[in-house]
Order: sequence, then structure tokens, then C-alpha cells
Amino acid sequence: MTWRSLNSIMSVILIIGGLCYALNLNHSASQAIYFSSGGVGPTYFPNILTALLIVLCVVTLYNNFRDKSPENTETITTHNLWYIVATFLLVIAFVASWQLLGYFYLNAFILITVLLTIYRMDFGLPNSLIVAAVTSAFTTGFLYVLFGKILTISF
Amino acid sequence: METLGHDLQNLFTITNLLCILLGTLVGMVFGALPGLGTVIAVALLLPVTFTLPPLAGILMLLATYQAGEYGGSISAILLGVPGTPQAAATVIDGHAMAMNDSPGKALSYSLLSSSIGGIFGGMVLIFVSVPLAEFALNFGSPEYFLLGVIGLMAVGLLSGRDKVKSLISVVLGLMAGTVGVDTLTGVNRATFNQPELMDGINLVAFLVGMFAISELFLMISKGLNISYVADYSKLKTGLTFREIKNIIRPTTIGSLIGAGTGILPGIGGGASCWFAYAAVSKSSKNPESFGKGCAEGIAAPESSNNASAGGALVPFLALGIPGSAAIAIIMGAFIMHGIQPGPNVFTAERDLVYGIFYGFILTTVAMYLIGRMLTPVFARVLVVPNSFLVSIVMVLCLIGIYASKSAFFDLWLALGIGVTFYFLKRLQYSVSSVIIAYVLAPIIEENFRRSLTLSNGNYGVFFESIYSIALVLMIVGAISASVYGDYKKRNNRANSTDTDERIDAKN
Repeated sequence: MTWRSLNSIMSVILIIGGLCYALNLNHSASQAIYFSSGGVGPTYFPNILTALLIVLCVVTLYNNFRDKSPENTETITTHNLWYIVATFLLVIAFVASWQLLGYFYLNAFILITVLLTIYRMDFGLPNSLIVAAVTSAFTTGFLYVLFGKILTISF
Repeated sequence: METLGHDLQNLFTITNLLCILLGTLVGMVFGALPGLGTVIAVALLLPVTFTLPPLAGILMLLATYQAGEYGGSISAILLGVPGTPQAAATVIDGHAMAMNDSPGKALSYSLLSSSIGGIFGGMVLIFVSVPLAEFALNFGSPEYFLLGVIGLMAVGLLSGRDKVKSLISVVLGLMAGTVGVDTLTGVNRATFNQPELMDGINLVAFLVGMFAISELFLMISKGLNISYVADYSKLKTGLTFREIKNIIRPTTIGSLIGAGTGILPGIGGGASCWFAYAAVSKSSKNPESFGKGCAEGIAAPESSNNASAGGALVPFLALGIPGSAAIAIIMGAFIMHGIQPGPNVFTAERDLVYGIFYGFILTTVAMYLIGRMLTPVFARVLVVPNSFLVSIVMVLCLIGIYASKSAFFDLWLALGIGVTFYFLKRLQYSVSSVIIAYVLAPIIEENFRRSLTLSNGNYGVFFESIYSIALVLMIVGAISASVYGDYKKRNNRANSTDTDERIDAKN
């Protein structure tokens, strides 16, 4: 994918997001008409914002369509893309497990261990696993003392 | 004299001093680490301020902000990689001096000039904000709305390379700020039937997702196992009287430029360090020494970025307009404690305001003392590879978000915001504009609606008083200058392309 395509996709997503925002706003605040004074109800300002967003996104789309510079037509390269995807998925799994099962500190220990092991795989599995487990144990222990004991925040 | 004693008594409590110490340590570490920076440090510490008294929490964030400005120069000097954008100009002479076998001297110049700049910024804060706040008491709703617009225009037009994208960022921030129950009518707005959104988007989730989580994804892209290597053997060196004397002039110029640009919303330390570097290098007796490890080239940008921190607090405290992303987060701490910055805060929260005035100078002193003692230790954190930072900071981000409201919804929201802003940052949208617009949204909307309600929907209300006319003229001036600047830039580019084509044709 080129920067040009990503720019266009983002502009379209923002326009759709803006429309969803306006639809939800005007639907949930349909009674707002009763509260408006001088025509300035709770949807007045947000509707101006939506219109502005759409106009600005259309301008971006137009500029982007006209911009045929090498930088804009260059293919996007993302180094370590799979690490980013893996991190994102692991964080989703962590939050889901924490929300459904609890055991924050155990989940945190596993998350840090797995992330560090994956990130340091170039050093070999045994090495990266040991370093990850030790680092994770120290970090989780520190978090437990700080949040669980000193600040008495329970997760 | 009696009130000064009372203010100092309020300031020198164990809690305040510990918070300043913690903020300074965190700020220096995060500032020194390339990729993390001051804003992420302030955002991560924001949830901690929930549990603290307002003054202690705000001083902690200010100490983080100040120390982060100096911390950025540690990696700039030792590695040639600025830890924060504000330390970019320091790289030129700081790294050159470190390469000339004097890394300790370079760090000492940086620390001393940062501290002097910080104290100068603090003095500007004390002497300028009170008269400015008194003047701002003349303002009504239309003027406050226009002031908010000026803040947004300044940030939108000055930050980021693409002005349309910066303006989109401003609109996105304003939209995010309008989510939740409308305070004037009690009507739900854009909550998508989520009860968690009725109080608005959680500030901590929004900030951490936008600044920290997206930045962690970007750090993964930059490389996970890069380990910086530097010479850590000559870091503890002092300065002689003669050396200190040599940096008085650049430090003074840097401090003046820093404080001045800090007061103007949207410019901040990132630009002021370059202004200061340019001013000092042009007026120096030895301009040829710049770029080769010149002390003046370190003192000017470093004093300037710390002075801009104090300057940026002036419009924030006096008018309620944050000039930078870090100040916008600090404004978040005010809002979380139910305090609205602006001229009325000087009477409603007098102890807090004066605590901030004197506390800001205290944070500079703490930065100097801790920097003197622990710079070699902070320099060592540079060897920590991104793989460790990303995994540990990610967990800290999630804890911070959860601790703020104990809601899992906020964790999912922050993840979504993090991914969205990862793409937006890569596409050059301005994250600073989003956050400043987000915190200004309630002020702008409330005053906009109040003005129009009082005038029965007549927009002429924004041109009635002399103050509002002056503010409108400022807005028109800023837009005209920006459009003219773009036009000039485009013309120059077209001319240079024409010249290149003519040269190519000749060849």
C-alpha cells in the first residue's frame, strides 16, 4: 500500500467516523430542541464540528489525489510489523483474561515474559526465556509492592 | 511577608517534596530515553495525581516536565540522539563537545543553563501571570471563546507540516471533548449507549492511548534490540568560574527567547531552542566555533527550552489556555481535581497558584541538585534496549488507565485510540493539537453557546467589545500570516524547480 492510498483511506474513515458521531449525537439528543435557546442547543456546536471535519477531510482527499510526488506514491514499509501485530494481540489477550478471570499479577507476569521472549528471540529461546522470566518476576514484584502494598490499589 | 511565609509553609511539606523528587527522577529517565520523552512521562504520572492533594500532584507533573526538558539533553549529548524534540538543537554542539573527550563538561553546561533558564521561566511566571489574569477579568464569554480559538489556531497552524491535517486534528480533539452528558442541558451526546462515556472520554485513557500506546508501537518499528553505546567514564565534571562566565550571555538570550516563545501558545520549547541557537550563533564573537563543540551552542537552546516551560504556564494559569501538549495534560490534573485554570483561579485557589509559582522554582532547584548527583546514573539507562522498555511501559500504561477509574472499558478504549493514533502519527496528523483541543473543548463550547444564547443567536456578539475585536484581528492576522507563508514557500519551491529544469535543459 502507498502513502497516498493510506491517506485516502484515513480521510474516508474520518468522514465515516464524523457521520457516525453526528448521527448518534442527533439521535440521542433529539429532545435537545426543547432545551435550545436562541437556536443554540446541545447539538449546535458538535454539528458545526462535523461539518468542518467533513470539509477538511474532503480537502485532504483532493490534495492527496493531486499529490503525485515520489514521497506520496512510495510504498509504505513498516519494520517489525509482525512484532507490532503480536504485541497488539497479546495485549488484547491480557486485558480479556484480566477482565474475565482476574489474577492481574499473574497475567502481567505472563504478558511481560511472553513479550520479552518474542522480542529477544534473536538471542535464542532459552536465553530470551530466562531473561524474560527474571525481568518479569522483578517487575511484577515491584508492581505488587508499589500498587498492592504501598498504594493499596487492588486490581 | 506574612503571606510569603504562609505560601512557603504550604509548599515545604513532606508530600510535596517527595512528589517533586519522584517527578524529577521520572522526568529525567523518560527525557533521557529517546522515543519516550516528557509528554509520555507526564501522561503516565497523571493517574497517580488522583490519590494526591492538588498541589502535590501538580508539582509532581511540573517537576517531570522540567526534568524531562533537561533529560532530553543527556542522550542528545552522549549519543547524538535527542531524547525530546526540545533537545534537538543541543545535539549540534553538545554531541560535538562529548566527542571531543568532554562529555561531562557538555552535560554540566546543559544542566547549569537549563536550571538558570528554569528559574528565569519561573520568575516570568510569577511577574507576568498576575497582571495578565487581572487584565483577563475584563473578558466575557465572547472573549473567552475567541481566546480559545486563538489557542487552537496557534497550535493548528504552527504544529505539524500539513496545516489541513493539523486543523483536522484540532476538530477531532474538539469532537472528543464534546462526548458525554451536556453540562448545560443534561442531554447525552455521542455516547453510543455506553454508560462509561456519559462522563466523557476518560482523560487518562485518551492521553495514554494517544501518546504512550501509539508511541510504543512506533518504538517497535524503530528496532527492539538497539543498545546505545557511549563513553560513561568522564561524566562527572564541574565547570570553572571562567567557563560559567562564558555562558552568561547565551543563557540570558536563551532564557529571554524561551520565556517569550513559551507564552505564545503553539510554539513551545521545540521551536524556541532553534530560535535561541540561531540568535546566539549569529551574535557570537566566534560564530565559526558553533557546530564544533561550542559551550554557547549548548547553553542557548538548553536555557531556552526550560525557560519556555515557565513561559507556557503563564497563559495556562492566567487565561486557561494550554500552550503545549504537556501543559494540556497538567490542565487535565487540574480538571480531575475540579479546578478550572483561568483568572478566577487566582482568588478561588490562591494557595494552589502561589504554591505552583514557588514550587516551579523549587522543581528547577531539585532538577539541578539531582542532575548534579545522578546524571551518570541516568546516562546508564540509555543502554536499556527497546525490548525491555516496550514490554514494561506497556504494562505501566494499562495499570495507569485502570487505576484512574477501575473500568475495563477504558482499557479497550485506550487500545483502540492507541492503534488509531499509530496510523494518524505516521500520516503526520498533529497529536498535540488533538489534546489541546480536547482540554479546551468545554471552555470553547460553553462560552460559544453562552455568547450566542445571550445575543439570541446573533454572531455580532463576537465583534461588540474592543477586546473581542482585537482578538478577532489577531485570529485574522494569524491566518493571513500562515496563508502568506505557505504561498511564499510554494512560490520558492516552484522557482527552484524551474531553475533546476533550466539547468537540466542546459546540460
